[in-house]
Amino acid sequence: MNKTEELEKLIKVNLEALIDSPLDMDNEEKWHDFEKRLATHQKESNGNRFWLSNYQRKFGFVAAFAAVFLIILFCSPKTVIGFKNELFTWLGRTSDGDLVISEKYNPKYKEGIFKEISMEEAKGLVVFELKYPQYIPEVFQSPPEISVTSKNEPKSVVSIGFFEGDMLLISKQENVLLLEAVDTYVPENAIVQNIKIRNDLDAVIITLDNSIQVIWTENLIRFTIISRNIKEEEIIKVIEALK
Amino acid sequence: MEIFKNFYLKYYQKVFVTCLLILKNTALAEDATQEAFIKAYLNIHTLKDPEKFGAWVAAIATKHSINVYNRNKRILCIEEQKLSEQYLEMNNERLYENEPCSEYLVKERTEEILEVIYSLNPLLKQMIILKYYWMLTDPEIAEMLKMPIGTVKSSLFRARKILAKKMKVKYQEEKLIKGEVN
Repeated sequence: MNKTEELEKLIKVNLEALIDSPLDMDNEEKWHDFEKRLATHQKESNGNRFWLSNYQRKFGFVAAFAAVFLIILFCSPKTVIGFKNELFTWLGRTSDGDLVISEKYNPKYKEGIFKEISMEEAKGLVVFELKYPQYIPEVFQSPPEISVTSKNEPKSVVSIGFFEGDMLLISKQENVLLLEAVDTYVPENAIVQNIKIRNDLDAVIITLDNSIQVIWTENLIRFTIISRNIKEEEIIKVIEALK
Repeated sequence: MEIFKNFYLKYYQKVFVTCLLILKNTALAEDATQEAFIKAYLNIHTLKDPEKFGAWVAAIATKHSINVYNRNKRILCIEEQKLSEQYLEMNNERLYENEPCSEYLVKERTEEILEVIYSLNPLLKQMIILKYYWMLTDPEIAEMLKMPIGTVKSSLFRARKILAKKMKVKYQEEKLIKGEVN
C-alpha cells in the first residue's frame, strides 16, 4: 500500500467512524419536522404561484402602457431625443516630431471606398476635420469629384478633384498615425524643392514637366496637391486658401 | 411517501453529520439537512441511480451547507471541540480495531485526522466527504454539484495534499514508537 492509498484509507475509516456513529437522536421526530416543513414549503410555493400570476397580470398592464407611451413619443414631431456624444481621440506626430492628440465627436467611420459624394458626406465619413480649397482657378467650372477611401480605422484618404480638359487639380488629405512611415516616389528627372507655405509650414514641391505636386503635413493631416497644366502661383493660392 | 420516509430514516443522521462537519453548528446543520431532504423530495424525479440516494442528498446538503456557511461565517458558533470529544468517546474502540496500535496512538491519530478535516475549507471538506465517505466518483461529484470535473479533481488533490502534509509528522512519531525507524 503506498502513501496515498494509506492516507485515503485513513480518511475513509475516520469518516465512516464519525458519520456512522449512532447519535442520540429521535429520527421519527425529525421526520415529523420534515413533514411540517414540506407542507409549509408547498403552501408557500402555491402562494408564490398565485402571486406570480397576479404579478404577470400587473406586468402585462405596465408593458402595454409603456408600449403605447413609446409609440406616442416616437410619432410626435415635437419629440426631441438626446444621445450621448462619442469622442474619438487619436495620436499623431507632426513633421517636427511633436506629439499631437486629436479629437472628434461622434465620428461615423465606415470602411470602404465612397465615390461621387458631397463634401458634407465626406466630412461625416472621416474622423478628422476636412479642409476645402476656398480658392479654385477660374478654369475649373465643374463641381469637384470627391471620394473617401477608408481602411484600418481611423485611417482615411479623401480626394477632392477638379478636372477641366487637360488640366487637373487634386487635393488629397489623409490622417497620419503615430509611428507611420510614408514613402513618396520621386521620378529621377523631377525637380524637388523645399518651400514654406501656410504660415511657415515646411512643404516639398516636386515639379516634372507640366505636373506639380506639393506635399506637407499639418496637424496630423498629410496634404498632397496634385496638378497638371496649372501654374505654381495658382497652386500656392489654392494651398493658402484651404480652410 | 412511505418509500421516501424509509430513505429519510436511513440517511438522516449521516446527512446531518455531513452537514455538521461543514457548518460546525448543530442548529444550522439540522436546518440544512431538512432543507436538503425537501429539495430531494421535490426533485426526486431527477435522481438517476436510486442506489445513490444517500450520496445525492448529501451532495445537495453539502452544497446548501456551504451557502449557509458563506452567509453566516462571521457569526457561526464553533462547536468542534464538543463534537470531537463526543466522537472520540463513541468511537475509540471501533477505530483501527484490526491494527496492532496502542490506544494512545489511535486516540492521537483520530484527534489529528479530525482536526485536519475540520481545518479544511468547506469546499475541500465537501469533496473529501463525498469522495471517501459517500463513495462518489469524480464525475458523479461534478454532476451532482454542477461544477467542472477539473475543479473537483484539483480540489481533491489539494485536500489530500493538505491532509498528507499535516499527517506526516504523526506517521513519523508512530513509527518511532513502534521502532520501525532506526
